[in-house]
Order: sequence, then structure tokens, then C-alpha cells
Amino acid sequence: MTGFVEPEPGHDTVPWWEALAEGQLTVPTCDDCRRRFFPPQPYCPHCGSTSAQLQPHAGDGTVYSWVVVHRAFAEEFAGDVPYGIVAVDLDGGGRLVGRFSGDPGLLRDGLPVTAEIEGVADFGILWFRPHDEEGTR
Amino acid sequence: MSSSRPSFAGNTAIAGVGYTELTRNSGRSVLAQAVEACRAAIDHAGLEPDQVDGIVSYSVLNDSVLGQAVAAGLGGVELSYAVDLNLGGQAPCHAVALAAMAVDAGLAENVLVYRALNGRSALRIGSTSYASPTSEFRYPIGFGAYPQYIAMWARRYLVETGGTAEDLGAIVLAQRAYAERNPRAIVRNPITMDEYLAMPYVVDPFRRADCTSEVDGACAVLVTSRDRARDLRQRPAVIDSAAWVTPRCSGLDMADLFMWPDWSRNCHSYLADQLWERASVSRAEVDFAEIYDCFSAVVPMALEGLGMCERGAAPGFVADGRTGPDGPLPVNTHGGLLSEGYLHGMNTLAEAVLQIQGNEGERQLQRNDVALVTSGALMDGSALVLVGE
Repeated sequence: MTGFVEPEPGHDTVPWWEALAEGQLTVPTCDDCRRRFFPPQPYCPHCGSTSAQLQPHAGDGTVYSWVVVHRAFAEEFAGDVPYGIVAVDLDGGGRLVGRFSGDPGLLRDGLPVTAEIEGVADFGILWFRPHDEEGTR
Repeated sequence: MSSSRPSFAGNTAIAGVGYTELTRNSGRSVLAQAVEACRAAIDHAGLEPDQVDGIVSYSVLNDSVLGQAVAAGLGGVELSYAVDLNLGGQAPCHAVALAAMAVDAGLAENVLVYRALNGRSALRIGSTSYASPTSEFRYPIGFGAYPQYIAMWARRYLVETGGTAEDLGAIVLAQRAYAERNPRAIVRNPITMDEYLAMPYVVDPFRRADCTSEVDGACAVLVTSRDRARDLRQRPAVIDSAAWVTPRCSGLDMADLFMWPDWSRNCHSYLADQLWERASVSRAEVDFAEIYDCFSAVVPMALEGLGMCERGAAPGFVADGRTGPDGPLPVNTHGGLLSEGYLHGMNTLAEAVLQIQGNEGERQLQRNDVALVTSGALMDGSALVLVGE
């Protein structure tokens, strides 16, 4: 079982987690300047607008940076090491961080990946898998 | 942004430095250590506790004590200026600037700046997942601690500069060489590149030696006017320039890195212009640099961001020995936070002052007139230029 620590969403973030729990990745998108941002927050950090929507996203993107965790800092992940964490630039803009489901040895700059959401409790774990099926677990 | 020279620059100075012992388990309260370091800084300057009328401190997650508690511990001194910042490693240079501003504005005459914590035996910030406005997007997936965040930035730095594991190792080796000469350092054993490369990863690309050691302890400096400092016990370290920056896209908290566009450049790339425009000296006149280094990769990011090295050139500069004691730009002459221990950069700043004062024993630099000091590793941060009187 994948390590997981339950988040404690606040006023600004509950809807994002609810969508993820339903299997839908979303990215806050400003109604005024049309730019994406993350995390969900009450004002657009690009232009200050109060009007934004959680736009569904297919989850395709490329790896911008990554680490491989060899020592767990929280006991929930002690059984997972070594595991990869990737920062992914989503197609069309926006950067998210998720678990990497492929062999960490595959990780490189620009690796194409797709999001997959694992349901857990009332939340979801955001995974990214490499497009090369050979690399998936 | 204003780039004219602030009035405290050139008119204020650091006059004293105080430390407690740095340990892995102090067995003492944070208050006891804070007051000890502050008393030591006052004494080092040649002042008496009742001459202190201002205190600036910083802390994370209530791991320190308030300035009012230190004022009580100094025998009940009255403060006309008190600031307790909720900041970590970005703070020390900024805290000194706030103290200098108060002195220059006439709000206080002698202002202590301190950092005190049981950072090893109590809350360990480097390995703790703690709640912040955006932590819910990090810790649920096992991405919840500073070594992991800064390793992400280190990776991107290595990608963009074509860097290697040896590039990070070079920084570790160079700083360990200084630590051999620093009795205060908590990690003093020398290390070879082969030994470095053989160490297991904590979070790839960081090995244990790329990470600072958390410690218990306290460190303080005393800020006063340049004129008063001239009459005190030590050579004044004149505050020549200071800058703080919270760049656009700094996010909602200290570790909210999602909006930051370029993870290979940190705050120092953004405050460099202000720092140098406000200074009376140029980059070329810097004799040595004390660079905040909670992790090895922060050193090249800061040196390059501040224009001390070309982009991507800092690791080679270090590997070639150019940051050693006889090089053109000695860097982290105490062994850095990597070796001396993690007092959240207050000790980085204190080392610069001690070098300028000129009593550093076997690690004393010959050229010690102009120091560059940095605070911070990620989005926001601060820096100082100090010049010996």
C-alpha cells in the first residue's frame, strides 16, 4: 500500500481535493487573465482577480525536476523508499508535484508523463507515469 | 523598488558577537541559551546589558523565545524597539538590517539580533512535516521536508548547468577543509571525493554530507551606530549594504514552490541588483563570502545569483580551490552550516563579523575587509555587505 498522510484541506482547497477524490485533476485558472496557478487560493497570484475556476486537466505534461527519496522523513513512507517525486509542467501551463510510478532510473528532464489518481480514503494520490509503458510498475 | 542608498548603510555597524556551545543535546532551555549568547555579544562589544534597548529575533514554529524574555534575562532591561520575526534562514541579514534601521532612525541605540533553538534535541525543522498554508499539497505524497524541496531545486540547477554529483561534492569537500580549523564545527572530519560519492543518498541528488546538521545552541550579534562602534572593543563591521526580496511568485509560505518559475535560481538572483546598487563597494572588492548553506547546492546558486561567478561556473570555481583560504574568494570559512551546524544562518553572519574583527586564529583570513553575507535558499531571502572600519 502506498504511503499517504491525510491532508487537512482549508476553505480555499476543499474543492480541489473533492475533484481529485472523484478522479479528476483540476488546475485553478483565472477568469480574468486566463493564467493557471497552484495551489488554489482566493486571489489570482498573477493579477489579483477574485474569479477563478477549477479547470479539468487531462494530466499530460513533462518532468521539470525530480528527486528520489531514499530516507523517509515520515514513517508512513518507510515502506516506499526509494521512491520518485516529480515536478511536472502540465501541457498548457501550471506546475504540480506528484509521485512517480515508473522506475526512478527513467527520470530525466522533459520526460513525458501522464497523471493517474489513486483513490485513498476520501482523498486521492496524484501519480505521474511515464508514457513508455515499459517503464511503469 | 528603491535602489538609492538607505541612510543606515555606512552609518551602522555590528560591534559584537556571542555564541553558546553548539551541541546535539544541550540539556538546557532555549531561553538559557538565548540569554547566554546575547550576554556574550554585549560583553564582546564592551557594553553592559542595561545599555541594550532593542532586540530583533526570528523563529520558526515557536522554536525560540521572544525578545521580551531575553530582555528579562538580561536583568530586566527596557526595550524601545522589539521585533520577533516568524522567519527561518531567510532572516538573519534582514534582521540585522531592521536593527540597523532602528539605530539609524534613533529608535534604539544598541540592538541585539539573535537566533536560539534546540534544533536537534527538540523540533527538527529539517526532517519535520509541519502544517503551513500549502503543506497539504506536499506531505500527503511523501514530499514534506526541506531536504526534499531543496533537492528539487538542486536537480534543476544541475540539469540547467550540466552539473554532476562531483559538483555538489566539491562544495562539501571545500567546506570540510575549513571545518578542520573550526573548533565550534559539529562535523570536522575531512572527506575525499571518493568517500563523498560512496555515501548513500538521503534524497537524490543529496547525500548526508550535502545537508546541514541540526544543532542546539544560540548566536547573537550587537548592532549599533558606526560612531559608537568606533569607541567599543572590536573593529566595527560596518553595514555597507543590505537587501531583502520577496519576489513575485514567492507563493504563500516558506516552502510553497509551485509558482516559482525557475528552480535553478533562488532569491539571490533577485536581490543582487539592489544589494550592489546600495553598496559603497563593488563585487570585485569583496574579500570573502559567507553563504547560507542549509544544503550544498545553495552555495553555487547564491554565488552565481549575486554575480560572484558566471552561471554554472561556481562548482568549478570551488573545485579549483578558489574559495579556499588562499583563493581569490574564500567562502564559508567556518565550514558553513554544513559543518558548523544549523543555527539558521545566524552563525553564517557571525562568522563574517568575526573574520572582519580579525581574531579567528588559524582560520583568520589575510584579506578581511569586505564581506558578502547571504540568508535564504528558496524564494525569499536577504543579504548584507559588511566592511571593516
